[in-house]
Amino acid sequence: MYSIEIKNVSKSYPKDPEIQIVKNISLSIKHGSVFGFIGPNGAGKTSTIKMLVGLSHPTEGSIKIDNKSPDDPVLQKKLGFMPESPAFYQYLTGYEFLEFVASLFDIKDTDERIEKTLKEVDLLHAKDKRIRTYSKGMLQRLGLAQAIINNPDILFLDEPLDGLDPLGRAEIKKIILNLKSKGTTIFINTHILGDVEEICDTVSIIDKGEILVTGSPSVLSQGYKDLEDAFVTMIQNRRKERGDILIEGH
Amino acid sequence: MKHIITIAKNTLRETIRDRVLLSALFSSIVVILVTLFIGSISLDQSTRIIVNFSITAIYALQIFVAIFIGSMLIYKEIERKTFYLILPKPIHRGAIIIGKCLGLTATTILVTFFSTVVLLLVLFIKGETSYIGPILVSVFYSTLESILLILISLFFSSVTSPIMASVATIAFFFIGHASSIMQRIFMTTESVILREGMRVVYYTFPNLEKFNIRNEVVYGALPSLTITLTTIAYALVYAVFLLFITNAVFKKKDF
Ligand SMILES: Nc1ncnc2c1ncn2[C@@H]1O[C@H](COP(=O)(O)OP(=O)(O)OP(=O)(O)O)[C@@H](O)[C@H]1O
Ligand SMILES: [Mg+2]
Repeated sequence: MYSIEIKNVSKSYPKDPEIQIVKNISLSIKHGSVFGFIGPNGAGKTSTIKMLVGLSHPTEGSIKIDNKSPDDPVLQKKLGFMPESPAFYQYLTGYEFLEFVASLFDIKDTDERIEKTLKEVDLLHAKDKRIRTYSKGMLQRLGLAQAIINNPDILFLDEPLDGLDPLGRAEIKKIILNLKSKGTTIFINTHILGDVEEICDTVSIIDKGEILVTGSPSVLSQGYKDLEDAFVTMIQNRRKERGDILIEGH
Repeated sequence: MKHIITIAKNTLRETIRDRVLLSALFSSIVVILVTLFIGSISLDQSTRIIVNFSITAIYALQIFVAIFIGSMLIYKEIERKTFYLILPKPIHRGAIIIGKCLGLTATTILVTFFSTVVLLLVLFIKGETSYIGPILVSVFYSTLESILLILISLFFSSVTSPIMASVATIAFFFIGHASSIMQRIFMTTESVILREGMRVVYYTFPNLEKFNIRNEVVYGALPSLTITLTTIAYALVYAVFLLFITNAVFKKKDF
C-alpha cells in the first residue's frame, strides 16, 4: 500500500517558465516507510516537498497522498511538515505558538499535548520565552514540535538535522526513529548521508530536478565504497553525460 | 469559523505587540490633546473647528493602520516564510484572509476606541457635551471606510510588496475620494470617452466620500437612519466583493 504517489511531476516557476526545477519525477512511497530524498544544493528537494504539502502546485503531473490532493484539509489534519530553517512569529513564546498550531489542528487537550510535545523535543525549559530569543537549534526543535503535535500519519521533514550539534542530532534522530517504530510514514530531505543510512528504508538521489536512482541505501552503495561515494559518483557521471562542467579533483 | 477566530486573534496580538501601532496611537492622542489645549487658550477658535480637527486626527489614525499595517500583514508572512507553517495546516486559505481582515479590524476598533475616549473625556471635562453624539456617528462612518481600506490593502499585499501595496492602496484612497467630484466635473464634458471613462471609475472604485460626514456633524447635521443603513449596506457589498477577489487570488498562489 502506498501513502505518497507522485506521477510525472514537473515544476517550473513563472520567473523562468522554460527552466524545469523538477523534471518529470515519479515516486511511490510505502505506508509506514522512511524515505530519504537526497541531493546537492539546488537539486529541487525543497521545491518537491513544497508541492507535497500543498504550498505550491505542480506545473505538470499529479500528487496523491492517501489518495487525496495535498491541499485537502482532511488530509492536512494527519500531516506534519517541518520546513527548512523554519520561521516563526517572533512576538510569540514557544508555548503560544504551539497553542496557535494546536487550535488550527482542532486539538482538544491542548495543554497536555503541548507539554508532551515540548518534552519530546526537549524545549520545555524555554516554553515561555519569546521565540525571537531562541537559538538556531531551539528553532529547529520548535519546528519539529509543530510538525508532530498532531501525531501525524505522514511527516515531511526538510533538512531536519540542519543547524544542530551532534548531541541535538542524535536526539532528533531518536525522535524520528521512534515515530518510525510507531508506523509513521516519513519523507526526509537531506544531504547529510550518514544519517540517511541510519534512518531511511529507501532513498532517491536527485540532481538538477532529475531522479537518478531509487533504492535502499545498502543496495545503492553496492559496488561503491559507501553511500557517499555512490552519491558523488552517480551525480558526476550524470553531469558528465549532460555535458556539464565538473570541478577538478572530484 | 473557529479557525477564522484563531487567525484573527493572532493578527490582533501581532499588531498590538507592534511598536508602530503604539506610536501611531500615541501621536493621534497627542494631536487631539494639543488641539484642545490650543483651542482653549485662543478664544476666537470655535469648538466646532477643534472637534473637526480631532475627529480628522482619529480618521488619520484609522487610515494609517489600514494602509500601512494592512499592506505589511500578508507580505511579511510570505517574505519571512511563516506561511510555510500555516498553509499546510488543515485550514482553508480563505479563512486566513478573512481572519486577517477581522483581526486588523479589531485592532482598528481598539485604537479608535482609545483615541475617541480621550477626545470625549476632554470635551466632557470642558463641558462641551453636545458634540458627543455627532462624534460617535462620524467615527462610526470613518471606521466603515477604514475596514474597506483594510480589505483593499490586504488584496494588494497578497499580490505585491508592501511598498507597492501601500502606493496602490493610497491611489485607491484618493480615487475613491475624488471619484464622485470627478464624475460631476466630467459629466458636463463633450468627450464621450472621458465621460464614459469616468463612469467606469465611479462604479468600480468605492465612493469613499460616502463615509465622510466630518464637516456635517460638527454643524449638528446627523445623517438619517436610512442614509446610515444604505451606507452600511454599501460598505458590506463592497467588502464581500473585495474578500471574494482576494480569496480567488490567494487560493491559487504558489509559495
Ligand atoms: N520561487 C522560486 N522561483 C524561482 N526559482 C526558484 C524558486 N524556488 C527555488 N528556485 C530554484 O529552484 C532550484 C531548486 O531549489 P530547491 O530549493 O528546491 O533546492 P534544494 O534541493 O532544496 O537545495 P538545498 O539543499 O540548498 O536546500 C534552485 O535553482 C532555486 O534557485
Ligand atoms: Mg532545500
